[in-house]
Amino acid sequence: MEVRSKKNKLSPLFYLLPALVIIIAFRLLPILYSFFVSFFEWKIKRGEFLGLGQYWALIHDSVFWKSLLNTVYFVLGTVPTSLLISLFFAVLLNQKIKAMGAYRTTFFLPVITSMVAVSMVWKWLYHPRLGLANFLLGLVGIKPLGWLNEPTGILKLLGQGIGLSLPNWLGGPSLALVAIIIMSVWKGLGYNIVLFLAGLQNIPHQLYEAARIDGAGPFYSFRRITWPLLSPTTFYVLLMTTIVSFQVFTQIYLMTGPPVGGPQGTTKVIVYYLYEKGFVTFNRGYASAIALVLFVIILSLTLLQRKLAERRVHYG
Amino acid sequence: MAKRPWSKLSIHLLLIGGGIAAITPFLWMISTSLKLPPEALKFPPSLLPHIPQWSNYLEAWREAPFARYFLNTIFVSGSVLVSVLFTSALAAFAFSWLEFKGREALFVGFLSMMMVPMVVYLVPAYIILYKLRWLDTYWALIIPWGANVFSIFLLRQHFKTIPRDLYDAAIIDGCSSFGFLWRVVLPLSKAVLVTVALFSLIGSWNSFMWPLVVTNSDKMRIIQVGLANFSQESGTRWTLLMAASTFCVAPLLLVFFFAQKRIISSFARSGLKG
Amino acid sequence: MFKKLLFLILLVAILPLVNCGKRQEGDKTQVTFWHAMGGPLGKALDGLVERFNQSNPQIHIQSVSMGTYTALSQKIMASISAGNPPTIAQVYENWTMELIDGGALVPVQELMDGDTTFRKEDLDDFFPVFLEGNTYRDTLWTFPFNKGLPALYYNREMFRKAGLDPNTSPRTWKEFLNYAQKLTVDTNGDGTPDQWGTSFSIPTCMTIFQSILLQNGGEILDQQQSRALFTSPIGIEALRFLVDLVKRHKVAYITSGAYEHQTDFAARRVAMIQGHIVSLTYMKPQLTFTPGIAPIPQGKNKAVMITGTNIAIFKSSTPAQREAAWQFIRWFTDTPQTAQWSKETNYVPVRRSALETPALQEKSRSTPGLKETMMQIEYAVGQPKCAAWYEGRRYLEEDAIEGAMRGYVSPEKGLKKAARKLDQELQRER
Repeated sequence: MEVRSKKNKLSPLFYLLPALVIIIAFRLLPILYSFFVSFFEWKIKRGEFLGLGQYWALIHDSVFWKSLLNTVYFVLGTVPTSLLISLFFAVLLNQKIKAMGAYRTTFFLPVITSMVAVSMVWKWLYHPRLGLANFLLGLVGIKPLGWLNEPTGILKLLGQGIGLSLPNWLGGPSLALVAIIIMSVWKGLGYNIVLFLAGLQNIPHQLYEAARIDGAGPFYSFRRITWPLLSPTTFYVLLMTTIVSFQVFTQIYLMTGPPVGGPQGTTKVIVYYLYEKGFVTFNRGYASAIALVLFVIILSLTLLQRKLAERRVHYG
Repeated sequence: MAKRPWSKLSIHLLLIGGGIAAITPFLWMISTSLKLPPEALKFPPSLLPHIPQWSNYLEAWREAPFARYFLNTIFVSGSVLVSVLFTSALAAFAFSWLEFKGREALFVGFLSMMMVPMVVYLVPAYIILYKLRWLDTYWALIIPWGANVFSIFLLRQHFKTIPRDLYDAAIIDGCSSFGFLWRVVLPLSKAVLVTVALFSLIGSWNSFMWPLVVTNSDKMRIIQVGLANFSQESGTRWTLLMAASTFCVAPLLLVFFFAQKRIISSFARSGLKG
Repeated sequence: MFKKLLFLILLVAILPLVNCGKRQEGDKTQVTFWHAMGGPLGKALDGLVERFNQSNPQIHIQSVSMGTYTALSQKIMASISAGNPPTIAQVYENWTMELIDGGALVPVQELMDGDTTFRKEDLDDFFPVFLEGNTYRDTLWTFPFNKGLPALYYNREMFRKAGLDPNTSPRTWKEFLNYAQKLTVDTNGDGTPDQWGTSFSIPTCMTIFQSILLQNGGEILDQQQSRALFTSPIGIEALRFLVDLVKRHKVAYITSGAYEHQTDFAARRVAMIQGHIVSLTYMKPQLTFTPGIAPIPQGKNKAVMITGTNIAIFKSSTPAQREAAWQFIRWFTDTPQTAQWSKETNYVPVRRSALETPALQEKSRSTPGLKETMMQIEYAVGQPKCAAWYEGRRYLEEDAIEGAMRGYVSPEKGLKKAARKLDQELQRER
């Protein structure tokens, strides 16, 4: 049973209006307009109608595919890592230990600081010659790395470490991109920990007690109790981090290059490529086409995750 | 689960390790911000500044009108906050308590807006702002962010948990639907409203790309844009840049330290399904 | 607590609105000027703009710094889409063609021709290469504004220690290598040098490459601007020289960021760097010694590449604004002002006569080598002006220069790849 506004049929509209006006004016219309633009040759002014011409060009654009691959690397690098590490720490924090609040606060600090400031700081940490990162590596006897300057793939670098020489195409994301991934995981970790912790605290304690009486070890209870009952939270965290990761931009824009997206274009992610086309080289038609493709990708991923979740997630 | 003392200890050790990793960049930022340039350019680095150079902060502060940037940011964040609370509460109420045609479809439509990166709508939105003669004004910084899909989503999740009986009781008392929202729903939702407020505050304090594009003059500049510009202008004067970064993140960190319990529980709430 | 907080927020929200309403300067002609001059350069520019505003009470130039060239281009692009560009702005050569074709600009020539007090002799005083760089299809569309040149900075102290004359710099690239070898020193004997001959960022490599290419008779594009020519043996040789400095001779290393090599130079880690003539202005606060400044080394011929931007007037302005804008441009590029600008920033004055002004004479006396560095203008060459160069220079920088410098491709392969992409771009433009 829901509230029926019998007196006034317009009543829902009255409630929705303020939000609706803003969202239509500054989100929906601009997005639709972008799609419109993507069907034209559109640099400074509107040119001829191209139909799907921009999309056709996009399919044949190797930089586009490369930026898509870099984005996938970034998503695959951040999402599972962040998920696992934050779950790990959340489980630890859930052990009724002393100073839990202090730990939680510490983990949470990066979440509320701005990406701009954090990008500056990490750029400084990664400085190939003066940075703290290389200093710490030096302490454990590892040679200084190029970090944001290093286009070599991480797998290739690791392979070199054990005397294995991998071809470039098997090299994986560049160390520069990995550096960005590390920083992004660090930035978002606290939020995920807090979400997981809330999820864990929602699991009734009696379940663990019962399992213990039945002689179950901690790993068994994690697999049989924690993991299934936590699945709504896990799903939510997965969904949100994926959406956010696909849109990674600010840290790339501020930390890499010059030229931005470097070294060797190995940190050029799709949103940056869109930005470059639209704002740096004035090719709005093309940029809009990239935007639409990105939108479709994110939308279908979300739907896919939702489909999978329907089967797997236990809403307790 | 963990009863034996060694396992408690190892948990603490793991957590301390994680905590150090989380906080090191900040400590390094502050340490660098207090060094003299030659000291900052030394390798291996000194962990603590030899003689703390507090004047770095003054020097960085004077390099750009940061006071103005701060005022702008506070004003914009505050206005966005008020506007978001207002628009989201109304919309979330409609989406959770009022019945109308196409409600779910509209809501899904709203949610899908969350998946569009900002660069997609930046230029067209800019054109709209121009037509409204809002460019380089506070309006351009406030109004487009005055409604927020995520906030509506959060509030709706919470509103849905409010028992229906309350509504019946309210109707018997002769309450209108707006009266019900104002007198019953909102007071019951204080905690989630705080969550929305904090999200909004942190979001607008840290926003960068939008203010960069829609404002031009120094008078309208926002702290993050000011900081990014400063990093370009200062070239590689890392000590000053770290000082500027420090005072740009300090206000939010201070707020955080005073209200950490509330903030963290707010964030935790954002993940729960209603 | 909650109510108090809300009240506080509302209060803060309302306060600045009180301040919002004031807008004076009613009958003045407003000219908005967008530029990317930040830091010390921005201060110098604002000082001059202020002087102009004071001596021209009927005009108000509003100087708006976007901080960076990227931000500037982004703003210009967005503002043209919206139809509200500034009155004038700094523009690069390769943006200009796009802007002209998009019908966004008014040729400066039109205003100049309409100004009866501006004589032909005035134009003769400008360095010809600047005027040429602003001429598109025989019309002077834009006007030279902040023009720079590359410069070689060196540490005299290190020169002395290596037994080199602290008052002369390498004149050819061969000499440069020779110097660099002498200046690369491993003081603590751990196998890696503690003092390097030189270091450069990727963008710096790009400018050195262009210089060497031109100096040896190579070209970037053909005359019709339809084809990339840097894949010639001269180009490959030039890039190989740079790569060899790092890989074979081990007298140089590549830095991160655009300006890190300047930091390393200031930190006395590097003996020589190629910078920009303006870099000195930026490095000053970090420097604890007085560096030598000199023209960059040369090859068979003398040539350097000009950097910096021009100023453009946008079409959406009113005739009165255009007129006022021209007055400002004319004033800014007049001898005393361009000399002042040069004195404060190290940019090259756009007029020859400025070099004779007391301000610059004094400056070149106090900064030995500066005048010689500025005089590279006599054989300077402008950047390619076609729109395709906008993307093209990225290809050259990323695929060829960066790829080769980091050892990902051979110089030849990298240059060919960049040329292939650039050719496509040039074809598309036709």
